[in-house]
Amino acid sequence: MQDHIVVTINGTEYLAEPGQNLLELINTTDEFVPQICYNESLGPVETCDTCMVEVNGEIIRACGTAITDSMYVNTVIETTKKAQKEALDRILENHELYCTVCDYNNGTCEIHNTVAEFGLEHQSRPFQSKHYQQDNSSSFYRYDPDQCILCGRCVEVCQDVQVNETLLIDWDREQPRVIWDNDVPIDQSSCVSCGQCVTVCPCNALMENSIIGEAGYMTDQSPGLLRSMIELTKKTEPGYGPLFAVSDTEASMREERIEKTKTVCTYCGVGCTFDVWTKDRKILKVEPQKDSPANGISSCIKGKFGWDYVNSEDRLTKPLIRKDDYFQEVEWDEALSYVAKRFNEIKAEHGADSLGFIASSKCTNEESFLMQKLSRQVIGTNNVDNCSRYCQSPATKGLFRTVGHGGDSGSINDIAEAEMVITIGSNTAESHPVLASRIKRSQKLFGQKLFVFDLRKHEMGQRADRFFQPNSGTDLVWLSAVTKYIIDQGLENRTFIDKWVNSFEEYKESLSKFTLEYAEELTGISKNELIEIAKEIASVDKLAICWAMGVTQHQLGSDTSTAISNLLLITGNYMRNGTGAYPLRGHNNVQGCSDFGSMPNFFPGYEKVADDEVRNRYEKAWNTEIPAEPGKDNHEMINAIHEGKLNSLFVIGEDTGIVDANINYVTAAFEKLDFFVVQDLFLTHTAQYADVILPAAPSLEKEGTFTNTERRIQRLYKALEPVGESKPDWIILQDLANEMGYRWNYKHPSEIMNEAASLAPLFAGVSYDLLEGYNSLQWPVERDGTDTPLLFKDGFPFKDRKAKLYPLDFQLQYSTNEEYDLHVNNGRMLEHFHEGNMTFKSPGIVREMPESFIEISTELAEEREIKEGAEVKLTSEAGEATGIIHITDRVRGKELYLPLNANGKSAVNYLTDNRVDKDTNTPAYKEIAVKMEVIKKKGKSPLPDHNHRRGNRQPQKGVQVERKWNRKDYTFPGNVVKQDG
Amino acid sequence: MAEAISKIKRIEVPESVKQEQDLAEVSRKVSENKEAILKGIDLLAALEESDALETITALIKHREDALENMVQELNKPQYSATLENLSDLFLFLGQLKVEELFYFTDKLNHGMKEARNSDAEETSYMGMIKALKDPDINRSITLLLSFLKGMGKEI
Repeated sequence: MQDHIVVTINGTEYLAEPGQNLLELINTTDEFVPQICYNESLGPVETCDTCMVEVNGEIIRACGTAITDSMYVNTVIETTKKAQKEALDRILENHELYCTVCDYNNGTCEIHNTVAEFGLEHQSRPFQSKHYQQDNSSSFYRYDPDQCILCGRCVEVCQDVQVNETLLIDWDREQPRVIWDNDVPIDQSSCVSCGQCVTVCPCNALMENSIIGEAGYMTDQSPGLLRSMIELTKKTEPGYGPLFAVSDTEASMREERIEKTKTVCTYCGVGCTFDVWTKDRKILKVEPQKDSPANGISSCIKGKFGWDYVNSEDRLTKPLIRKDDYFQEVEWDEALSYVAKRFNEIKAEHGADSLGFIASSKCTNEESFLMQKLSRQVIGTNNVDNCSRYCQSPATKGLFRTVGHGGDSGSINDIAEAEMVITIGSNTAESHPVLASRIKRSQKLFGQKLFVFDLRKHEMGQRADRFFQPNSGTDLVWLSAVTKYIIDQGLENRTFIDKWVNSFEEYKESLSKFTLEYAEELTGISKNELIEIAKEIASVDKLAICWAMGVTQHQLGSDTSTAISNLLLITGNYMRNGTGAYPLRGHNNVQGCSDFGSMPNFFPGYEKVADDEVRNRYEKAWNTEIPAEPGKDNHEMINAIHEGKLNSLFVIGEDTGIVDANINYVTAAFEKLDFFVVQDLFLTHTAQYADVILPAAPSLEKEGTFTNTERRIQRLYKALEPVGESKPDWIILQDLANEMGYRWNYKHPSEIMNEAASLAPLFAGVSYDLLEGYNSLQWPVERDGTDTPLLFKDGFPFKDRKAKLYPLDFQLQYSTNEEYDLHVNNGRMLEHFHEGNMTFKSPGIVREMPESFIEISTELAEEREIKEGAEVKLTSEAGEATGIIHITDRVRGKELYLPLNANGKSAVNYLTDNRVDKDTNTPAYKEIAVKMEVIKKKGKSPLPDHNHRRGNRQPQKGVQVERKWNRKDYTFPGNVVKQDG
Repeated sequence: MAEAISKIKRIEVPESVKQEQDLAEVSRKVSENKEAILKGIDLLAALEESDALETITALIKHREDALENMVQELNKPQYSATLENLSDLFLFLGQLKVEELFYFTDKLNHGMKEARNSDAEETSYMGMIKALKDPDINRSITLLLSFLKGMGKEI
């Protein structure tokens, strides 16, 4: 096999990889070939025909040619130029150039730039309207068929990148156009508003509503006037040259007032990065970049369109202090000195351990670092925790027990690369949409096997090659039974185990209980199915397992996470690309908040507070004494308040009073506090109990770093100034520490990171210089800046570099009973984030999903004789909630689903109780038995008519350009040239 | 004991205090940008003197109407030719060889000067024939003839 192939382009020789795309090769040279439909992130689409080149004497599409043999390419002779011009003319028949009054004229219009660079001066054939109306039905973007050049990028991205399978081009009608589902308005379709079609559109055919009439100096005109201006523009600007001179000048004037700032999304743990375009405080659009490490050009509805909350009227703009029955706005000085005084008084009276601190997984790494520093240095207590306690601590625990690092084994690319992906208790398509798309794409295009285990047949369940519904809380059992079967059959990866794994015999012994019979009885998955699962797992070379709250929020959450890791060790699915364990982090910085030390038992980088050597290091650096005893976690803090042992609580950016389990119990605790400080954007449910509320600034208004689910540290930059007198959390924490007599002097978050890096070996080489722009680092980061995209490449972080198999037992802890006969499952939905404090402030998102619902099965609806829209009351042992019924076939039998974004009377946490994971105190949110009482038998459906869930997907691969080529009126531009010539 | 409350009393900043703060901010900016502001005042004064200030103010206030009127007017068919001419004229200018034109215009100017100084009222037919013998007139005629010849080649 030869290594390289010689390709001669316009007389110069170049070396190509075998199979390399010809256009891709040409783009590495200085030669210019027009290419409008080609997009690096999408690959060849082959619709626009502009990249005509001559290869060995014949005119072909460069983008449709793979290099297999040495070839002679000519891009400049007259025939290719003519063919290219013919293709460009066809595009301009479909697209009117009125750049100066177009909102897309921002220097990045690919039609404009191609026509300009090609030097096309005159239009040979006039623009022709397609006679279709604009589609303005979506809340987020619009489609203008008259400007659409039918390049099909939007279809490619919808079908094969996002894999939502909504967009098509109907090539069969006389005048083709892009259609949604089976030709319905956008908002009646299955479109999930991920916005990727808009991102890849090369022109103004698909545009964000938020930028229309905003970007240009002359674009904000009434439609009639705009039309007249377009006509005028065309009359006065006869050739494209003068037109471009004017429009290019106008485009550069726009740069004067439009800022483009890189930021990191805050709506889940995937860590999408993008440029946010702002004009004053207006957000014009969000534009993911091909260099965005986690997401590339991808986004979801929330990241692309859900930023209205930063400009909400409800933002807190000044500190508030409780006075009798109201909050009084005060100046910062007064608020800070009051907090400092009360902290000091309580510490003096009850000791440092009577104060508690809860950091936010929505805040930056630097802010987590300062929160634990405030707690440990200024107050002197380890009572500091964060909301990963509510979700991810069990996964971290399971990984620490077995492989030694509490994070994803590899990157999202590794999940995409795996031969087989198993998801357990993860509603991936709604909770981590961009990551789910990578799996959906690999499954659709590259034959990746997808096995999904969940109670609810959500989108991933529907798409899975195999879908299993184990009984709630029994994943540990099937995992262990499958592992046992693999060992019993001798299908384990012996070489891997011998070389890299300890405690095999002991572990094997512990599995004796998990026979197929036992598993079938407990999980409801049949013996045969278990065998099939085991065989499939043992047969593949690369397996990645993703899991989420459906595993962790159980009383055996840590053990189940451990079982997953055990199975991966037995089958040798660690240490290589395309394999490993992937707990999918739910909040943007749930990983980083724990990484940077806001945990009662760990310093930054997961070094134990009980470890003298480590503690001394911090004591020396901070010139203080730190208790050796671990502090209280969130859950223990709430208990301690009830017991009178915790008197003061400081909560940042977490609506604990909604998102903690058993909120009746939690809010009762708030009422008992002597002093309660909440730092947030809004007067949240939790803040209503506070004595002092400090107004904080969201991600768009500050700098810092977040760490995503891949352990990837990424910088966010300030796009907007903080609203009113609100401040970035790190500044508030610093001001407070200084008010209490310390001299923190951080001028920029980079200085906080430098301190963290100097103290925590895990982040030794992290620095802002290495994180410029779209650069990122995946921890551990060595002192020289080398990061670790794939963990465990050279062994596991234990003394002998070997992983440990961890023996487990199982006792069924929970089930429904005769009185409380229904099981409530709960989780996210695509449109809203968490409890909805941010997303409910976006009118577009609220239009998509205005309220929450209680999802029940058709069987249960029939049994209780209720219809869609019925109103019911659910009662558990802990409390009650009411809500509106939505009947689907995603849930079965007596299982209910309650989205956790409901914050009124439907809040699921009125139902949850104090049961927790035995190892980490993570609430067992997923174990609620309730009874249901019907209040109203039917009513209006809580799901709007225009919600995407009512749509009708149209799966196909790509844009199906062959159908264009087969049209009677299509001639290949290369052939046209031949005819003419 | 702290029950949940949600009422907020805002700090009422008295109008006079707000004004004072604003004024302080403005005078600080004025002091920082003294030169620019003084020049700006000169500019305003000049505009005022020429009555232009009033016109510009009115135009800006009614910019939407103005733009609409302009665009609508310019889109009327009678301007179509003018607009097209405008751009054609622009292209025409680009094609002219100005240096060669100077050669002509120079001659034209000289001719006009002579013409102005001449007092002859009319020239007879024979006079014209005779005039061809005048080397100056002959050169002019030859020049015109070669011009006509060149133009004919392009027709």
